Amino acid sequence: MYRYDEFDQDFVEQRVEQFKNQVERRLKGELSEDEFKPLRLMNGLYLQLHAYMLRVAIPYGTLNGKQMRKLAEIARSYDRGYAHFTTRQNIQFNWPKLSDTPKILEELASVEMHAIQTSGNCIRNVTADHFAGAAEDEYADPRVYAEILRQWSSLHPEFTFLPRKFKIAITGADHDRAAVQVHDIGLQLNQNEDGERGFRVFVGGGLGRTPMIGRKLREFLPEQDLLSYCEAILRVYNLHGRRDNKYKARIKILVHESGEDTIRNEVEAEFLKVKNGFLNLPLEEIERINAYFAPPVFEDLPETESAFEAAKAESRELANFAKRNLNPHKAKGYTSLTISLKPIGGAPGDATAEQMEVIADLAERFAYDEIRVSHEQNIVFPHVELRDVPLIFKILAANGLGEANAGLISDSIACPGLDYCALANARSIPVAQEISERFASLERQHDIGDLKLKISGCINACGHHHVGHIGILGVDRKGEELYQITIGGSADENTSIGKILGRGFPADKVVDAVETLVDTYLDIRANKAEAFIDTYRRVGDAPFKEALYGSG
Amino acid sequence: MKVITANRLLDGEVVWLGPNGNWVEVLTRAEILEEPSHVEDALKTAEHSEKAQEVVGAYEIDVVRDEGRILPAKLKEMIRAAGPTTKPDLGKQARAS
Amino acid sequence: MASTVFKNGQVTEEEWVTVSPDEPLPAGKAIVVSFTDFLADAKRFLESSSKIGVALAPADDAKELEPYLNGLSLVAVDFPQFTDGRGFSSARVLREQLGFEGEIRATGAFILDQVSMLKRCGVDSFAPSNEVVLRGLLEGSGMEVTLYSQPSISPSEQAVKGRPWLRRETAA
Repeated sequence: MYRYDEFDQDFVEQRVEQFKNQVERRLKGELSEDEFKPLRLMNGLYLQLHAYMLRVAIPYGTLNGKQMRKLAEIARSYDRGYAHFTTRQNIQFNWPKLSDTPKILEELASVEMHAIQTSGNCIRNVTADHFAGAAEDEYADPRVYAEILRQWSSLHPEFTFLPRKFKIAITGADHDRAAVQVHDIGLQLNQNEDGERGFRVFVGGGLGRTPMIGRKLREFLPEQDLLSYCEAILRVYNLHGRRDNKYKARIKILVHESGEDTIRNEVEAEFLKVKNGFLNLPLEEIERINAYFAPPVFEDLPETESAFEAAKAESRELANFAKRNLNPHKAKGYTSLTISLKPIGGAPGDATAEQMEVIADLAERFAYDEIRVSHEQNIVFPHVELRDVPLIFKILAANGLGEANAGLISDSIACPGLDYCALANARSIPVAQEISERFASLERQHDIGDLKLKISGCINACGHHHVGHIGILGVDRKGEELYQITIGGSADENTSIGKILGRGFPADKVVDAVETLVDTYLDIRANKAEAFIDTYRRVGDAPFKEALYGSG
Repeated sequence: MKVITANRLLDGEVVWLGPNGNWVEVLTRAEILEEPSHVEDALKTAEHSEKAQEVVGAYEIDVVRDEGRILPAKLKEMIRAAGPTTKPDLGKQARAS
Repeated sequence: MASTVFKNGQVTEEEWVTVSPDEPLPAGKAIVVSFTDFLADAKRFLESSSKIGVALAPADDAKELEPYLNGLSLVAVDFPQFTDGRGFSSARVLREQLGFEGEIRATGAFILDQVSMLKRCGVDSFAPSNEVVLRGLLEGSGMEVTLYSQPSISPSEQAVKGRPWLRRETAA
């Protein structure tokens, strides 16, 4: 993974000093709250319902054991013993004091971490495929380019006061595991006919109150043009994005209102001026960054590991875990292992300090000291030897981390909702908890198979409900929580926005409604191999609608 | 019936405006404002507190009397007054009784 | 325009006067006109014996000034609100794409923490509307970060060895 050199370390330390100074000026009254707010947000510090919330960047979701242990220590010393992993591969602490935040940032800087640009109207933490560097289907490791983008966008002099926030995601394979088509810029690594590396470029995707799928501006952008092209997009957006209405300020609205062709022409015209300037990516620099992401030296292992196969035959729990929580690895005898942060009845994405320490220990012992945070709010060990899986599973299970539900209905995404968030209209976590309790039987979940359930507590859609196979949106109707259900959304290479099926359900009926949808699917699926989303795409929404609301 | 609420600048703690212009950590000690003019005055006091770096984002909320107890009218304010419903061990609810 | 300006590390008295287009143009002065007024009658201003500056509002397209830049001594990029970051792009377009070599001044409600970013976008003088910002500029506070992770055209930066895009402030 990327390691700081002296420059990076000094940079982050200067930034801590700067924030310390800003906090001091705020406490002395030299900065008003209006002036301080964008500055604290640029350092990931929000004020929520009960307290401040500090969002720490985990660039493209990659961290090591030492860093995870530091996060656990911060949770224990400055917070309430737990933290929350987010859909943008970051981590949130829910109870820090403003006066403690400079100290927390110092602690983070000591392990090459920071909270720069985890909020505010700037270019946010760049996210990437959580199986990067390990997946057998990738063209190249997307984190190399994510790191290049991270450096370029950090405290960018021109793009720090944009009309609205700006999110970039990058994936390394044709199968999109980073939801690139619902980002402001989505990049998908590919190759041209000459075998040169580049990117498919999507612009103007996003969720929120106006969900949009990104438009493809380029089928192939050569890698050396990455920064120049991004700069061109950002300049067009900074100058022309709407600033009169916060809800219409994202680039998706500019793309939608101007039209795809107009935006493409403007971006390409700007790109011509920027191209071959000082942002041209030298191959040596790509190589230099690439070296940091060199995979570990893998042993020459057999394709199947007999001890592992035997252990699976003996333990149904292990077999279930292996079935759901392991992803094919490019090296024989290895796997990428998903640690579910969705225990039955738990808050999606939460981990205690103790669990974070267990994860750190396991990563150092068994996983080449590499940890990933997935946008699905789980933890991934990208490189694990198959023969170590039984022991890892045993230790995970003993610490409440062994849920064999990756990709299943109880592996839901949920935003913090009204339990924490000042923007929310309804609670999300209790809905996720009840659904996972209703579907607690692992046998039943495995029978249902792949099903992405996503829950947001307001129209800002932090829980990505628009792209859930089943999506739930909490709204406030005359003081009561009401939940709208959407169906048919997806955030992979076949991105689609879910359709609202009908009127919403009160909190005590929404779980029944989800169960009705699932039962309907089980009744009408062509066979066990046909996943929920495929059945929906085959039959449309009519049977589901009828099941929920009747034919009248 | 209204009370004025805000978050304390230093640590973000939820507070309500008390009878002497001080900020209190439990809703039961907040000053209940019956008249619109009282609300206006209280908001002015709150603005002073904001300028003095004591609190952030002050606003008025509706409260109701329920069996003699003062409770916020809206769910969001109930949660602010108690803590996350999913974590009864945290927030003000954990300190109560 | 504000009466005091921060330039080259010190506060100077304002030399620029704002005129409205209906007035006769003073001779031998330094005159600032709005972007719209200037474009409406550019020839008249450029023929004046006064130095000419143009005040650019956030929505004004700096590229429209291209034919006249040789005759301009100043472009004042205004920030009616510090959260409106269009001026950052306007300044860069003027410096980097249009090659404007005159003075670029930030005016208005920008905050101290934006000053170093403005400099990196090509701004070289500051006329803040807030006294606190002017004081901070004189004291040099808010300038803690002197390392940059992307290049800019600022003349006071040098490249970092082995890292093609990184820059270190030399004048700080």
